[in-house]
Amino acid sequence: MNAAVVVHGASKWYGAVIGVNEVSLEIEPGLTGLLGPNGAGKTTLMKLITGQLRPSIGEVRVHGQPVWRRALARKRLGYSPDGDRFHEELTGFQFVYSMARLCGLERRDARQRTERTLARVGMADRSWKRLRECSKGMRQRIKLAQALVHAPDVLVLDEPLSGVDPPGRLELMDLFRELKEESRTVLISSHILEEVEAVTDRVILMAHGRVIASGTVARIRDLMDDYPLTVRIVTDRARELAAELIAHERVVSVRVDEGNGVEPGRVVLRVRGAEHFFRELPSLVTSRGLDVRSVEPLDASAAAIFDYLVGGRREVDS
Amino acid sequence: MTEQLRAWTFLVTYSLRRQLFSTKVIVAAGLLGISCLLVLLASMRRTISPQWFGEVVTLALYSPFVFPMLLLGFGTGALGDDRDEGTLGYLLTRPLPRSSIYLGKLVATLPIALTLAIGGLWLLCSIASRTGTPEMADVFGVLAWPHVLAAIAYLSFFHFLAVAFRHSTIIAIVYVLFIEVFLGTVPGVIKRVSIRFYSSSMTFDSGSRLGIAPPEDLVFQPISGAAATATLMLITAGFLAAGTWVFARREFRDVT
Repeated sequence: MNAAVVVHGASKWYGAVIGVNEVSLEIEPGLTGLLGPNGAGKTTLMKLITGQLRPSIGEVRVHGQPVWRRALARKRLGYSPDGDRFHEELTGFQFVYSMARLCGLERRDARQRTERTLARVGMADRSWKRLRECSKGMRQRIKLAQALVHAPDVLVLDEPLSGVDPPGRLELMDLFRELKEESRTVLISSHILEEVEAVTDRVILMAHGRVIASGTVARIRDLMDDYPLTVRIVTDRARELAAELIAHERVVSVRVDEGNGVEPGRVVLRVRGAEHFFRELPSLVTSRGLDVRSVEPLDASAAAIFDYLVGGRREVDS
Repeated sequence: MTEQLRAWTFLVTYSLRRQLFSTKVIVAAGLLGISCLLVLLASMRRTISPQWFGEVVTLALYSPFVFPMLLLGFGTGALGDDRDEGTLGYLLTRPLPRSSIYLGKLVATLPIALTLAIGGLWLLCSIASRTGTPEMADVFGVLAWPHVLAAIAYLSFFHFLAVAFRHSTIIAIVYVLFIEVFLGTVPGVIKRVSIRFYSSSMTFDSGSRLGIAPPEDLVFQPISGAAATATLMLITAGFLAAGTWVFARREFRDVT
């Protein structure tokens, strides 16, 4: 086992409120997604891992060292916070350079690494802009740069894609993949499932301060297949379609709204194994000569899936 | 130089630069400007003697109010600014021991705060000396050391407030107005809770040869210069130790 980050039985209370509840996990080199709805405890867990918070019970170790007590444990750690706060009077370059110097780098080394890192996050040509004049996306990149500048082998990135435009997201996702190829341990949090799924090998799902599931993306997907997804199908022949669908093995329930002659009919169904269902739906529709205008999942958001998973703690072997 | 020492040295210079270009310097310059103007007006009306200067300027205007107010911004802002801006998290995730961050931030305030506070005192003495008695030339030498020690004690105390309390600036202002300005002038031993009591005692001890003395000995009841010096050093060390202890253990949930 070569886990860079080990969280053992860690809980964190804020007075009577539980931030993180009996979390035990090991994060190995590669990209790990930390997923959960807002308030799930992701940021608290990340602050425990980066030594900003002390666990109420349990312990958090980075490369075998207790990160709260040992400052040197943070030498190999980079952290990009969720909050959008900076020393606004500085330029992007000055800020990243300062953070490099605060990690103990020599002047020339810090300058060279700052230039390289800013180029890596796509900020080379905009690094002389004052932070107060930077867009949200640029500020995200600067945050990422200050986490990367001292070449840490453990990176904790809290919502790193938030506020970044779609082309920028693709660039940053490529960067995350590069970090993975460099065998770094990268923990990326998000509340958007698709965002994390696109770049990570392994996912940790959190809700109500607990880890409710963890494992490879494929295994988590299998687990999510058990979740009955609500789908709305708009068609002119709603009753006929409903009759076909009710017999389908993956369909749990069907509700029909026949329409009023002006508005088309609707079939709202709950279906397990949605991925397979969507694969089979076109042939089912065409074989019966039905006319389907649209198919729309109604509750595919991560929050809905978490609600389902929270019902019971599920451990998934990776 | 080890990496940690290099990082700490940079922390000190970086914090110093940030303080130097902050609004606190402008506020402090404003306070000093008003004080200088008052002394200038007084010097135009009368010949200033060390005794008058000691009583009115340093004991009634500068020491109890302007001096601590000037230092307050630097003391509470050294770490408080990072806390208020939400940028403390960037510091706490660097490979620096928390105690060294606390100490480094305090060290960074010293050059600016001492330059302004003691430089301001020198300016007041210089203005007063222009039309003052010949002995006025020696007044700064008498006042400087007690004020240097008092300044460090204030900074240590205000720096402690910044890590112990969320709204440290407000608490520090209340402290200055109530403890330093009000309690510092009432009869009895209660005034010994104020820092300026000890700097004043030092001033009276070393300034007696110039005629600098408390207006009413029985009301002020100064302690010896040596005891006052030792107390100011103890206050500094005590708050430094307490602040370091609190900062090393405290979690700041309100940071980025």
